[in-house]
Amino acid sequence: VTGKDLAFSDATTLGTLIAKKQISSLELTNLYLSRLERYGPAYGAVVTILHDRARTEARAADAALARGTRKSALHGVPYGVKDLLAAAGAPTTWGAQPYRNQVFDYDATVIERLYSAGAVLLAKLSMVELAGGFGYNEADASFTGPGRTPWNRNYWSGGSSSGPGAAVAAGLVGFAIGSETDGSIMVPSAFCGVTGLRPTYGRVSRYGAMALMWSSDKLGPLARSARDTELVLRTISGADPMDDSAKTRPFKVKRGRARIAVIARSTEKSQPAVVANFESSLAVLADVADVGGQVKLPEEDYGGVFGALLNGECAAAFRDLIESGRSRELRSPEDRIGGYEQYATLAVDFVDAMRQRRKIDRAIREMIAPYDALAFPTLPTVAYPVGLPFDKVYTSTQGVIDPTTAANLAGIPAISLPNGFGEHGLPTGLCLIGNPWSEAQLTSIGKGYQSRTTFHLRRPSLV
Amino acid sequence: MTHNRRRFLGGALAASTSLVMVSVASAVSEVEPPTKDVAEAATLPSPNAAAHELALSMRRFDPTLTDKQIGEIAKSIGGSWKAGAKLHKGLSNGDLPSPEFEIGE
Repeated sequence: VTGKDLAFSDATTLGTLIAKKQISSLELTNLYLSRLERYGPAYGAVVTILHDRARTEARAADAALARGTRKSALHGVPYGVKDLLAAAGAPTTWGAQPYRNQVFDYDATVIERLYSAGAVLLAKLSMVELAGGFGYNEADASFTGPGRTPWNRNYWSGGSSSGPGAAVAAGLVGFAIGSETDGSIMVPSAFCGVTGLRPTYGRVSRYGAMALMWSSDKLGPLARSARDTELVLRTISGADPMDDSAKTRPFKVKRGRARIAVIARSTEKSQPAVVANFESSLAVLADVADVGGQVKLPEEDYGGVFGALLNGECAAAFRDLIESGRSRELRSPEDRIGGYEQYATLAVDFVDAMRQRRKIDRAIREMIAPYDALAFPTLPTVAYPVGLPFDKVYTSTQGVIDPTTAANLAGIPAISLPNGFGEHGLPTGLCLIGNPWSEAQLTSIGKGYQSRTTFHLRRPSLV
Repeated sequence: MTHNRRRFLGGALAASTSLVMVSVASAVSEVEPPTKDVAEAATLPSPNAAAHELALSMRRFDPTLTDKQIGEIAKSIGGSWKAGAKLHKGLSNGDLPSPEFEIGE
């Protein structure tokens, strides 16, 4: 097994190799540390590499294993986190210049749980500043510069979990933790060709994570296989006295074949390769599930409702920053002024958005209830080019229906699976959304899909 | 990631009428003749002017905001208000908000 093969192995495989003592956690940690140093900057993927902490945790994992203690299937497996999670003693920058020197003296609950499982924290990974809350409109929206997909450096790695997407795709970490408020796990997963799992709202504690929108923030894994995303999610999920929204709920998979429908009109205006890859994916899914029928996304003002809620919550979350005037230090021109727009949000609009959300929530759940999953292309295009405003490219796809925002409003889970390649050799994604708390059902379908395809095993040529 | 929201607001900005003003005017005309208060309200600044005033007030936080930035903030605020007016559509008096978002079983 070469170093490159190891670097691109999924976390489940790495955990098994460590357990069998075919490689030590320290050896694997050193391999990833060297890859993070070598390739991380080229893809704008890394903020801080935690050399000392990683080696200390790796040595502890190896020592425990030598004593016969294997804490979990992730024992000794190195990983990275989006730089919005507090890690004691290390900078936690939220991707933004005003917070560049911010240091917390505790670990986020997610990091604590991974530590308890024996996993090894390698690095804080890059992100769009403030997770994109202020309305950025270009890839260059972080003090670390634009995130770049390992499949083609001229294109964006997606946001706002840019670093987790790129680092997993480039084999710089065993897996990564990202966050999603509205697309921030799904988008980088699709643009980087990795598997991302957005949990049900409340599945994972957010203690120690930057808040952007309390009523929609979720933490979840980006990894090299669907089985990894399930393994990581099981490790980090559950109630937490430090976060009242976090709950312990069972992971259930129904007996028999899953039932999947397609969201009607979800390929309208999509790039031809996205459509072709999606149709091929449905044919593969038919091997593992009953695929048939279309469901219509209820006609609601998802963007307006989400926008009003985000504006109000984000302005409150970053009120200190806005009132300090330090928004001017942000990278993206839109972000430098976006907070002021949000600060002026009308209370009546915010409350009406909450009222609309209740109706949307009910409608989305009724739509999905007869099925185990609904399928659509994760995005209508491949990754956006670096250096151009988002609203100036792929203009023919604007105005497409947006199941991702609808699903985030309803707090339901989703998985994005690599399903092929399109323009410029860039990856495309298949998205499945499911009923509340049905992540294991989604990963079960994902595992079936990936047992019949090889897109998740492809490796980019790194520069 | 929020650029979809910007697209929505961009679309709202393209709309030529203020839904707030239209709905107020039509409601009043159906009920009774304009009162003194309504007549006074007609002399208040337009929503665009009000948005600009509000945008200007942000200089208390950042005095370095340029006129161009103030114009962009005003445009965004005006767009948010227009988009916000649509949020009331379809709601009746008894429709509850979801003040604490939570996923049930």
